[in-house]
Amino acid sequence: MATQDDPELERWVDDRLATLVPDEEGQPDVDHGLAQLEARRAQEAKRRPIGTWLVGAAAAVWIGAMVVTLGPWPGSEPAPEDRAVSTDATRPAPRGAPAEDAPSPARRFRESALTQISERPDAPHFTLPDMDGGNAMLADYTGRVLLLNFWATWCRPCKVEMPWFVDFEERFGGDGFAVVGVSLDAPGWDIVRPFLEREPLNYRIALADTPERLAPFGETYVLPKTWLIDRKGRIAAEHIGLVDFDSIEGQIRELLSE
Amino acid sequence: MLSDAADAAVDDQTAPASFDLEAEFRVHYARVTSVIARVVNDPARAEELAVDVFMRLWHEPNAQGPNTPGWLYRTAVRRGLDELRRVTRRARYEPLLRLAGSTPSPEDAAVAGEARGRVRRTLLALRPDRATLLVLRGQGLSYDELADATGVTPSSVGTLLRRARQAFQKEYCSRYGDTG
Repeated sequence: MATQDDPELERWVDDRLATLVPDEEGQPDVDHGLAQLEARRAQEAKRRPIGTWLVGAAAAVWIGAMVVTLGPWPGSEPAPEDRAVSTDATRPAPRGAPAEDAPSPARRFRESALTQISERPDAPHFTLPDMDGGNAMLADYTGRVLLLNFWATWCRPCKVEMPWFVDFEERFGGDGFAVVGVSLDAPGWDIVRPFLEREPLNYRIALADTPERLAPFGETYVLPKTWLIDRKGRIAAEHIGLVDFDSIEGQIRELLSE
Repeated sequence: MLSDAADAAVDDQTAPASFDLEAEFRVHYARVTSVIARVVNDPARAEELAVDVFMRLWHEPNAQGPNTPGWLYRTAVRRGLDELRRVTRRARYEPLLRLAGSTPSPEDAAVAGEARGRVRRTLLALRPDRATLLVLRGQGLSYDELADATGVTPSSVGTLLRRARQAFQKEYCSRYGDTG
């Protein structure tokens, strides 16, 4: 092993970093890149007013549907314990316990609108260990829309919505969007890693298994809880309990167009 | 300059009047692409991600000015590491990509190569600021440029680099043993 002398350490590390030089390091086409940048800027500028109008129109239609509906179709609405479960910092909720704060459709509707930009609070800064051995920080996502999902391995509705987040990460992940799942499991990686082996996910998982790690996010009495954080690190929406897929997808699209 | 249509459509409230995004792009694009390519090992994808970085610059008025070069290189490394992380997770999520004899996918290529794969996985495990320092130093940035990119004083760069190298060696050897 290289000794701890600086010159040898420097050479040791530099030799390994030198392997990162690509096999073919040609010059990128600057004009082509500039054309791509120009096209994306123009696309974004066009999408903004159209996207806002479309989301507004869709929201108006949905409002109308909610007003006249007689309620959810029998059998299609998740049972209360499949929408949300109460959480306790020291023990998991008993299986099958009815949710204390199961969101009603009316409450979910109120949560489905993005907070106006001027009223969005700053998301708390956090540093949490992630499953790759590094640290996940809010600063990692500056300039990107972030879906921050609080979950636990024992939380049934959390597992219902995970495939949806996988879908969002797959579809929007290259467009300035990312999903981070924050596990509240007290046993930590001992229980989370085996879960991820059985249920592999394509998005980043971090751990808030202690009160200190959870503290920046405030009280969390119900799981799942999901925040949408805009490109400037402000909380644009909060969903308590099982998210509504169409609603949150629309919000993501709207935030991406901001 | 960018086309009149794009200029007219753009919300210029995000950019100070004196900031010339096109000029900055022409000056820094090649180097930003090169930095990202070292991390993701996919030149075509590196070019796309480099455009992402400049799009982000457009949205960040605070990064537009004398700090632009440092901000660009720091953001380029972080973007590259995020992409590498995403690709690595996707490879675990879709095991069919690993069928023996299958044509390597772009995802496989991103972590391909025994030596490169080890180095990239080690970088992913480091603190982002340390990984950034090491990648940018490998790119040939001077101490002054590293100071700009990481927001530290030039006199601190040497110490921080030494710590980053120590952390890299420790992580690498803990994963892959002492390979000399």
